Amino acid sequence: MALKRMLENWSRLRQQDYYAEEPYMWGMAIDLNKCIGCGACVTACYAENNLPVVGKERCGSGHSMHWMRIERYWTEPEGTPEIEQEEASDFPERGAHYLPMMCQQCNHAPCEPVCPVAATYHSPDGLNTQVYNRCVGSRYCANNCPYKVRYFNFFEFWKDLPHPLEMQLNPDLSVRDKGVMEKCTFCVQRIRAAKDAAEDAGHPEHVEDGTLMTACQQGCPTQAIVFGNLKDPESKVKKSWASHQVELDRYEQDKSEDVRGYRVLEELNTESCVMYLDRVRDTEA
Amino acid sequence: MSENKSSSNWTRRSFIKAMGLGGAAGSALVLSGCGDTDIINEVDIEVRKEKVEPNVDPQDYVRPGIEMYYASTCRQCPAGCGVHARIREGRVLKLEGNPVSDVNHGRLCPMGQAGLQSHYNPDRLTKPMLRKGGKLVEISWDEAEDVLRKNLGRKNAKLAWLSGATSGHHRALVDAYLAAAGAKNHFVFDTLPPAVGHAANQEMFGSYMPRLDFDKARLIVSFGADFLGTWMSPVQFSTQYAEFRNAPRGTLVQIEPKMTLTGANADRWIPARPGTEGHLALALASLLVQKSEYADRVPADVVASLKDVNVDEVAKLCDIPVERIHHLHHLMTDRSPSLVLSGASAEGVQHGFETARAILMLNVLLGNVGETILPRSEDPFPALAPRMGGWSEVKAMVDGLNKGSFDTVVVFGSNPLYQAPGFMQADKAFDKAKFRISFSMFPDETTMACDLVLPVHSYLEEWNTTMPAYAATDGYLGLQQPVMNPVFGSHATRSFGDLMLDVLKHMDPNFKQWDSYQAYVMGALWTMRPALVKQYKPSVPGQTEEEAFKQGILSDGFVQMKVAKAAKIEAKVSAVTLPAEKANANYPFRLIPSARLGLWDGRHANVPWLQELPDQLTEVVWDSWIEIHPKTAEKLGVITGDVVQVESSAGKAKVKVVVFPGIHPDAVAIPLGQGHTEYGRYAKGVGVNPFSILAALFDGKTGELATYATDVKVAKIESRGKLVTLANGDLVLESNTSTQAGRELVKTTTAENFDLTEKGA
Amino acid sequence: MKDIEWARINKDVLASLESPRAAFWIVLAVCIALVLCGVAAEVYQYKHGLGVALMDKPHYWQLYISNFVFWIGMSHSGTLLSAILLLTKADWRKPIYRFAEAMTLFSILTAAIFPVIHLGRVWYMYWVLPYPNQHTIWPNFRSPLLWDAAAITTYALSSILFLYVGMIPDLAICRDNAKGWRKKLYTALSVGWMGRATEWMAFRKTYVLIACFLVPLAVSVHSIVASDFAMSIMPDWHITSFPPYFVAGALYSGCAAIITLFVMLRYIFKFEAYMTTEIMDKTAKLTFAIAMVWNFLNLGEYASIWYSNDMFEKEVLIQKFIGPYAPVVWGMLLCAMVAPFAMAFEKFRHNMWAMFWLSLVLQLGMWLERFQIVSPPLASNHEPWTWAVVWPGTVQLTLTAASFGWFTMLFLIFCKIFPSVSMYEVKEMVFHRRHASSRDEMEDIGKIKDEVMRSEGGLA
Repeated sequence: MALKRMLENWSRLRQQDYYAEEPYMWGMAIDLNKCIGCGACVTACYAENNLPVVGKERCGSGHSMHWMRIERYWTEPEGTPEIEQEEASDFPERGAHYLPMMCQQCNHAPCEPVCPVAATYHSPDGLNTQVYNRCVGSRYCANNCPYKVRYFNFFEFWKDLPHPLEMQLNPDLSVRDKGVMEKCTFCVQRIRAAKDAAEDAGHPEHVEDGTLMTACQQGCPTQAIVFGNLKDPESKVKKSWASHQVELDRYEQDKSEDVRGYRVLEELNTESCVMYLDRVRDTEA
Repeated sequence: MSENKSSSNWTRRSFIKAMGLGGAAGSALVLSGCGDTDIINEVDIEVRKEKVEPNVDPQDYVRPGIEMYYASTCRQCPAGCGVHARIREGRVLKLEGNPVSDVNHGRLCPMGQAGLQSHYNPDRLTKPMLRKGGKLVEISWDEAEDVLRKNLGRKNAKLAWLSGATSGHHRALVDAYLAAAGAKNHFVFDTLPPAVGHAANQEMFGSYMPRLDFDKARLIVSFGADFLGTWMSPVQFSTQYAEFRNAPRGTLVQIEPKMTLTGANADRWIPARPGTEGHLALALASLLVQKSEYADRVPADVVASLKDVNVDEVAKLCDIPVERIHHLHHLMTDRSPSLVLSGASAEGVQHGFETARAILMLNVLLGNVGETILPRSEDPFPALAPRMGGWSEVKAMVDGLNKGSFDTVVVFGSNPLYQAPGFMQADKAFDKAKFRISFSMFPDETTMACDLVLPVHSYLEEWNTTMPAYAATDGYLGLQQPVMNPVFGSHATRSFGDLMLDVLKHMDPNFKQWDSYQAYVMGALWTMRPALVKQYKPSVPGQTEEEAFKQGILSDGFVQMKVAKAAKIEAKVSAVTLPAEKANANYPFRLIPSARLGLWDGRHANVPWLQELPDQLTEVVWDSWIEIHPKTAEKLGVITGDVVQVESSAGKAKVKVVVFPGIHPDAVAIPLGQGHTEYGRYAKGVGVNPFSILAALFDGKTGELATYATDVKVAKIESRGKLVTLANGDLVLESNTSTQAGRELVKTTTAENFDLTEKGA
Repeated sequence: MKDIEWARINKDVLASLESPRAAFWIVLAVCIALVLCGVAAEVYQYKHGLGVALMDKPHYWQLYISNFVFWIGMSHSGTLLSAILLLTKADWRKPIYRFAEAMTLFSILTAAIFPVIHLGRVWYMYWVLPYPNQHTIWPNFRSPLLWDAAAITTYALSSILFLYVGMIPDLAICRDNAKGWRKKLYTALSVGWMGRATEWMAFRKTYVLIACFLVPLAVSVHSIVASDFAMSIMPDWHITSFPPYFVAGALYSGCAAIITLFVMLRYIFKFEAYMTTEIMDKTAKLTFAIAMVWNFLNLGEYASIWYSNDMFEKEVLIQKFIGPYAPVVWGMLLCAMVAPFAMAFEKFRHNMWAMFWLSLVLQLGMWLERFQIVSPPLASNHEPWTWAVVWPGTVQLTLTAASFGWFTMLFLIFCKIFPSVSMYEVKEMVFHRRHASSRDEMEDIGKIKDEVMRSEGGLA
């Protein structure tokens, strides 16, 4: 019975660093110096993850389902005086600010504790997973997500897919029914396949860096997205995190001002697994 | 093809020509004992899912639950990126970039990704249609082929053939057919390839598109070249751009009246008054030639011609501060080598050719030629080389139709009834032809006006070769293979190549040796093999050399031809004179028909993924809009969402306003892509088509349509309607300043700091 | 002043079960029509998905949650009047507590509908409850929504118990006067009440016990509802003072509802003699006091946000006052913060119909308060790119209207079947009033009690 199981495992579950021995912690680094905001990642995500196209009317009522989105801002955040326009200008002379935004796979995910049925929980390898079958659609998680990257199936979108567009659907993951919350999974189906392949290859604890790519990373024309295992000291993503002095389990980084790494809304102590690198502009130009 | 199969009058040279392998390198080919060209053979290869396998016989490889990748070439735009198609259970599920392709290095743009939805599009044509009694009626393929042979299978000098940008064996086949039919008129019409720029490059550098080395440049000054978005080969340029942005970081300055995706990523975006880019380039040149170090690079008459340029007046003309010009001048002299590019907004004016020359001249002055602008070697097979075409060709065709020079029109890969400007009245001209044939996947505007409609395979269902519009390495030929069986079955759609080969067979028995277009293409490649860089040796016991070759090239997805070392690039510079700009009091605004990565020139409007991919600058989806600068909007009394009437001398359109800071106050921009009157459920009736209101203005030198030269007036007619953005952001749109509201969402640092801290990385 | 005739009490109250004014049937018909509209809207929403309700990203919650909080809040006054005033021995509660308790119960039943129709997958609603199952999965005990489910269930059961137990003596009276199906019903429900002294002893003890249990429960229930918001990290939801603020707001809107129903019942069932201006006066004073507490907490919330200088919360606060939802916020301030000051005037308090309209204004204010708690923070959340305004669509509004219909319908049916004024307690009150002058002379309290019991038992 559930109660028995819980009591039996209580001490284990309560243990600090329960996941410390887990060989994986999936993380990402997004270089805003390279991101050009083209949207290749967005379309790649649609193709990989069976995201529904909702049409004009439903886009208009805020029902679009883009797990990956590019936010475009025109102004600097306050407190970066050296970059701000030298003189007040009528034009965005320093270009746009693009921010690819998807589930940040927080380790202190605000969405997790509020789900009444535990449909969203934390996997041992650091993913903030969403169990579609368990979801009852209270939408509390989406409210509590500061990044607003959870998307709700307001309609039975897959029913609107005309033949033969459904032939494109990826059989590695399901289509979602109405009333279910969904979000970026770091392409969990690819992670699973890569882990299986690693096991077949005789090194179950080690997915070789670079063999596993998320769909957005794979499509990105400028390679702005790096994805990998943060527990692998040799992985590109870990090296990037280390060299940009961002540590996972902090809400205030003890780092040099000049180093570019940061996490969005870090002060909320979400311990997100996605690090961004500052956008760069040549102030002499 | 063994010798005895060839007929007596079939010389080796014409044989090579038929395969599109004519030209210098072609004649050097050695034809040795060719084997059987039928490559549908039973090669039993052990597959691992990670491996790339040729789609020799798909049935053998369908293993439930095991994914496989087939290499092919993307045809969503003329860039010709290499793709890997992911196949499961005989269905293509995803397109990825081909990592070994020199064009895109494993990356793919949104349009490339969305090729799947063109392929699986529910609005694809699945039955041939014939116009009977004024109406298109579905007919059987047998009947359709009869009609096709009857109309095309004869000598006909009054035949006009219209293609979209074309290359590779499609081009070779069409040219072979036209030669057989004694028709001379192969028009090529594509809207976005920079025909004017190509002409200017050709004149100055002896090549329509010299190779560009972004990585080496420390500074890129782009006059409206949207190389990250719509300029020739966006993915390729994006990968190069990423290198360019590594430490030590290159600087990008973009000068254009309306911010493009490239402008959005510039270190300095300079909104010049539309049509004045050439003057700005001349002003910069005049500042440069003040130093002999620069002046010595161009002939004396050019230097002399620059003497009269008054920088202050140019600044006023361009509506940019004069300090900015001087600053740009210093930047150019400080950072060498640099790269100056000219793009659509600079070239799309009446003196576009001169403007492009003025801009490209800066490269010569700055000594970039030979540094970042590199020579190209000659195409080994010119018959396969890309033909980009332009507006002048569609104009020639329309003129010819109006004069009655053509009785039969064939359209393949182009949609002039949508893309040609309204004033040309292409539809009326089209009506004058006796018989119109369209090879098309979709019921587009042109196809629906044709008499015979032949539904063709998608690019994921057919064999072909494509030469990219621009490739960093010369002699690259992309290969296409069917990555799955035709979605609607071979009884529904046919391969264009097969259909034309069939017609050709009836005209020229020499073509009878190829059973299919596949045999034709593969035969050509097999013949071509001595001219290739890579040699393919059998790796499995019992495999013949030909099998190994075919497997090898199809696994790669492209072939690399040997090319002669490029000659040193010589720049020819002559003096540029530009007419003064004159304002039009009746039509105070310049209309910019802006293209974007996504819907392109409208050909992808029927792809739902791309309709739902927000515009990169305004974030609008599923709609058309007009971008107006906040100052202008205030003057006109409009806010975001209002409906305005845009009127040019050629027509008018109703469209919603987006108040948008990234545009010059004298310009308004309507994005291309929408306003289809046909083209399936996703495109039909959405938005407006700016092509329809372009004025009849042409570039003096090249005869290309001056797309960025139309003047319009704008008047409010309706109050705020709902404009749909992906952000769902009425708030975002209302101010259209989209601030970060005090949050540190996108942080910015200086390039100086970046170079300092990233050196190790 | 002539007090109510002893014998009239039973007659009047029992008459309310028989012959209400025509208004009763009109109101009932309107309510049933509203409920039917609501059922249609829910079926439509069930079939097509929640999108038809026009919620969106970032407004994942909207009217359903506002209404939930509103109805839960309304339920609190019943408990307050009944239980707290019982424990504090406030006599004036007696003629009005019964319907206040009924109101509690029915507003809980109304409130409980909203989390259900709010769910994306209604059909799996029961997964929220901790029940043993073969998946060996528990619900998430950390989630305030689970606490909600538990709290509402507990509160609903306790309220039924409280209402029912308090009604037993009256049900016995009804039993003795009824015929036909009513007789059967009352016989079953009055569980053989004979009015013996031991029964009265047990009854009193039980009643007080339940009341003692209910008071902290009521406070905890609305605190838990407050934690739906306070436990999140959303700016302007994540506020420490939310539980007391919610409790005060709940009592406030509940009192307003009591005033509304007070006037309505008084008219419909001709209870003028029982529901007097004095009682109204006292109820109004109580409402005024609670309104002031709520005002204080409200202003305190604004002040604490302002002085915290937290970027996100301040943003929401500013947006509340000048943003797209400003009409709602200002409407709330006007209706719920300013309007109650009318009750400071005795003349106003004594005017039944003035109080009726004022109570509606107060309720509107409190309904707007719930809307402005839910929507504006979502509209200007942490991520400015998602900022958007959306107003509830037809489906949500229909279901909101239907909830009022549903509540009133249940309430009216209750009043038609059960005595909405407590007969035995009114008698007690009348008895006390009659003997108030001579109370000092009463040496033996027990004597009075005996007399009361005898008289009631005898009548029963």
